[in-house]
This record gives sequence, structure tokens and C-alpha cells, in this order.
Amino acid sequence: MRGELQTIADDEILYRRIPVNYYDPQSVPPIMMVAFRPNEHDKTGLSLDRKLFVTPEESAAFGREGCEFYIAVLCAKDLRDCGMEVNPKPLPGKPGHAEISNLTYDNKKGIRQKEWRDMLATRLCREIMGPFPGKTKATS
Amino acid sequence: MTPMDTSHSSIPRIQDENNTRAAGDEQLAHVSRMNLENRNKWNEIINQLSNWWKNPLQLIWDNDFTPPSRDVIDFAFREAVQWRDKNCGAFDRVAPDGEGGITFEAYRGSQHESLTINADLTREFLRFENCRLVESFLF
Repeated sequence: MRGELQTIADDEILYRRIPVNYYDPQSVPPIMMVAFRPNEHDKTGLSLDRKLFVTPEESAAFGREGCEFYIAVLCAKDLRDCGMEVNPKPLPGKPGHAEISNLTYDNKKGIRQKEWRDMLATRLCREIMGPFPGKTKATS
Repeated sequence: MTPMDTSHSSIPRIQDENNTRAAGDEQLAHVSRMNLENRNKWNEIINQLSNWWKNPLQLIWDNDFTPPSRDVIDFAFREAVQWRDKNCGAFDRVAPDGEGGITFEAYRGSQHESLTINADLTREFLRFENCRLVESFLF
């Protein structure tokens, strides 16, 4: 278990929380690229959750109360094969937090980073689950 | 005007081959129908922006999510009207980017285009081909 905490295996499944309006099952692809845009809180990497620690419902519950979210299911190997670095980044109350550490708020304007965001939206989501409710009190 | 026109007074767009055909009556009717569908798609986007302008706070889609200001929505609205009236190819979807901006996206097969109006009203256009960035500029 200790090894699982410290590293993310290639076959590990990761979740990305997607605001419900970024997903349209009638569209091809169904997820907008903007869903993978790092925000100012993604200074050290784009946030993900590890399936080893949370269910899709629990991952969505980290989202804002009153909002709904889909969960994009990703595999670490798929991301790494494209050049993305996937690492654990435990946070207080979120031991299963992980991140794409070379896709950050500060480098999101890079060519590779833009291409990765497009890949995430168009190719790398293995499954979409939900929608599930956010349950975290609003911070703004 | 071709959808691929990159002059900044219009909008670069994925070319719809149906819009570029020219010949007999059937094809002209087809082009006319395509133009109407294109205009209707723009009108859906414009109506969406108009609705958002009434209450930008409805665009707080998560914690740490900054909705666009009314100024940004108004700017996007005016741009969309201009693009519609120039018969530029319509984007498929529009959404707030979470950082005070608004993003338009369009997909046609292996091509993907994104245009973001940032919170400071600068605009960034991106075009991808098979997930490779083939065109990018700020204006």
C-alpha cells in the first residue's frame, strides 16, 4: 500500500471532474477542451483524483455544492504515452489527489500543453460517468 | 468569405466543404440551406450569450471558477453577431473558461478550433489537426 501511495502505476485509473455544461453526449467529442484548462489553483499541475482512493461520486463531491459534474475516466499510461507526467499530490482531506505536473496554470500557453488539452478532450477519456452532485460549500 | 479567412475583422473557421460548392440549382439550394443552418447555429450561441448576460453568476460552475463579467459577455455577443452576419462558419459550443473569459469550440473530424475571449478582452485562436497545433495567434 505504501508503494501505491507514493507512485501512480501505469494502469492506474484517474478521474477528472468536469462541470456538467462542458459535456454534451450529442457532440463529438462530448467534452470541451476548456474542461482541461488549468486554473490559477493548478499552479503545480492539473488536478485529478485517484480511483484507488475515491469513487466517481466522491470525486464529483469535491465540486461546488449546487453544481453537477461528470467524471472523465483516464488511465495513467495513456497520459504518459503522450508525454504528460502524472504524480500523486496528496492534499489535506484529499489523500487521493494527483496531478498532471507538466500541465500547469503557468505553462498552459505552451504548444505541447495546448495539444495535451486537445488530446484529453478528444482521445484520452476512456469513459464518462455521472452526472453527480458537488457537495463542497461554496468558497466564493 | 471563406471560413478559413484569417483576417482579424472576421473569424477563422473550419471550412465546411458544403459551403464551398458552386454549381446547379440543387447545389445552390443546398448551399442556401446550409447557410440557414449556419445562421441558426449562430443564433443559438447568441441567445445563450444573451441569457448569460442577464445573470453572469449562473456561470459559476465550480469552486475557484470565475464567471465572465457582463463586459466580456457583451463583447462575445457583439463578436458573435458580427460573425453570424458575415456568414462565418458557426462554432459548435460556447462556454465560460472559468477564468473570466468565454471559449468557443468547433470540431470537424480531425480538426478542432478554439477561440477564447479572455477576461481582458484579448482573443486567442487555436487550430488543431489530429491534436497537433497548426495555427495559433492572439488578436
